[in-house]
Amino acid sequence: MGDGSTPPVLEESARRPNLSPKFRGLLKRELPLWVEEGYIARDGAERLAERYQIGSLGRESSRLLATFIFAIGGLLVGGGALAFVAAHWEAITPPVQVGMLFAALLGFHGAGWFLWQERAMERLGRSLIFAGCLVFGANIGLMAQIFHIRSEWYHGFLAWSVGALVMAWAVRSPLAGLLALATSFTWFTGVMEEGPLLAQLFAPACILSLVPLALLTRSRALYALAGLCAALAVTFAAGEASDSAQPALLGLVLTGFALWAAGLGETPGSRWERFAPTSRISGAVLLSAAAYLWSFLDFWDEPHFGHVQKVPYWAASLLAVALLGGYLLLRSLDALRRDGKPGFLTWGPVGAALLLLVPGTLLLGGSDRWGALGAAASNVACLALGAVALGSGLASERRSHFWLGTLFLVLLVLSRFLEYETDLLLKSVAFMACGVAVLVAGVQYERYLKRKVAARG
Amino acid sequence: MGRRRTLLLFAAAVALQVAILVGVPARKAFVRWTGKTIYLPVQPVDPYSLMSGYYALLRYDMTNPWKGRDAAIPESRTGSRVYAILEAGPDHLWRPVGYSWDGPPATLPAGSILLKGHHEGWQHLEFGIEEFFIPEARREELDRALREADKPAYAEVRVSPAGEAALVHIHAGGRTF
Repeated sequence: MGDGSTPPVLEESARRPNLSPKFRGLLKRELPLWVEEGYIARDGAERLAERYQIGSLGRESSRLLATFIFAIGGLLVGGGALAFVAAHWEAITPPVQVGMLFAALLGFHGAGWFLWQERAMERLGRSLIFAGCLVFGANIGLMAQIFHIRSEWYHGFLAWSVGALVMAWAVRSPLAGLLALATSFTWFTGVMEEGPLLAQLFAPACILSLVPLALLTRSRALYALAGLCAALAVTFAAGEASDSAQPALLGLVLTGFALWAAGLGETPGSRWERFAPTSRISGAVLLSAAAYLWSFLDFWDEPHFGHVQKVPYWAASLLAVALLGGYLLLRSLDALRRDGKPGFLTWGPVGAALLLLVPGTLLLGGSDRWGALGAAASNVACLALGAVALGSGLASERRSHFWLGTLFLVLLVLSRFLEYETDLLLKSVAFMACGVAVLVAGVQYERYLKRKVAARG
Repeated sequence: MGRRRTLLLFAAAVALQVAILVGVPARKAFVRWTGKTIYLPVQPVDPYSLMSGYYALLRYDMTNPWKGRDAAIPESRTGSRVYAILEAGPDHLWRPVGYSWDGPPATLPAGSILLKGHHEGWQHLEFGIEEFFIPEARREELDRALREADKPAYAEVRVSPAGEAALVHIHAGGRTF
């Protein structure tokens, strides 16, 4: 640099080229202008185009569009098949009806396989196989209607999810995996009340069967939704089995922490690197939701849970999640220490989780005397998580993290002013102060970003 | 993943889906095709709540054995198994003549059959033949037929020797559904 100072050492993450379609699209548009106006030479532009894979932009966008179109088409075809469930048809005899159902199922799957493997039309073929999985679900309902089978409504969804899951693994289809997730979660909501012990099995089954598939197919959507459904299942099952909101919130904290810990310490270039940010963000959102709900004093005054089990199996599942979270954190700490990373961004969520878990566990069943202490600890946890989001926005220069953290803190402050009886004048001062703080923070952050960009030269 | 392995996995997945579809109605289909045909009178139902969704809720004489009787009939726990013993009347309609709360009776009176059910709670027994799926276009027609007092409705049911029942048709208002 001209002033003789040492150029800044770039972090590993900053060395990787930005391959987002938006940036590459802008670069593709600007490069010819830079060459024409003499800012860069033609060979330099060609090297940049090669580095940022600009040539493949058109193919990628058409691939994405085609996938979207085929998925919509598959959904519409399958939806039409599902409409048969409501239509009924009694004009033909049951054996012919059954034959037609099997013909439809085998037809979709057979056509999908043929187009995919024999005609190299992979997107269309996979869409037809996905449509076949939808037809499979419709057929379960139709079979029950043809033979007037009476059963709990959710049993059909379990059968549907098993069939979709096996097909998802067989052809490595994230769409079929999402279908299996949706149908199995629907089954869970039905069985939760009738079979609480069985409902406890949903979360581990979901993680073990769908997360590996998400990694294999590189589907962040499947990963994030599987994690979210598992977290919600642990939460709902604990709440339903204990008849209390406190074990449910404990479940939310523990699953959020486990998800967040799973996203720490990713190895650059590994298959997991793609999913680590999704895992951290999902976990942080769940932790924040639990902390925010528990920041209200009323939650700590909830009466003792109604159904005290001799062997509270919901506590066993929460303990299992806690152990998993602890293991994931310890496994990541070594990698983090090697990179010199563990700091507030790592220990902040750990501290927040402890601030929620310790009083949340000790005060299970409610306590008039110590409820305020629990609420205070939750508010500190909220502050910590908000600060982590702000810090992440500063460290990674991501506006979304900064603004999410800012808005979360503002929400926290305003919630306290609205929760407690305060003077109207005080409320107005609080609102105005929050507004000013948001404006000042936003301006200061943008200045900070500009300074960082300028320093990189 | 090699093509042959993908084909094997795909075929296995399709086979599983077919097996599930075969398994869903297997018991009912077996009873329908091999069971003895009987006719059960369908009890009058509340005309304002006859239909629920796209199926008709049916009630039979053996649905509530406590109705109109004394306390000598024992109350069983919700979900427990119960067997209804049915005999045909002069109108060829089958009606309950007794119940067994401790498993199927060792011997049955001549000409009677057994129907397996369970106690749903609230003095209500079910035998797996209480819901009749009907096309949307014929819902009102069935509703009117079931409410015609001068033409009693009855259900055509197939029953296996073990007491499993499968609903086949509803005969109401001179029509068959």
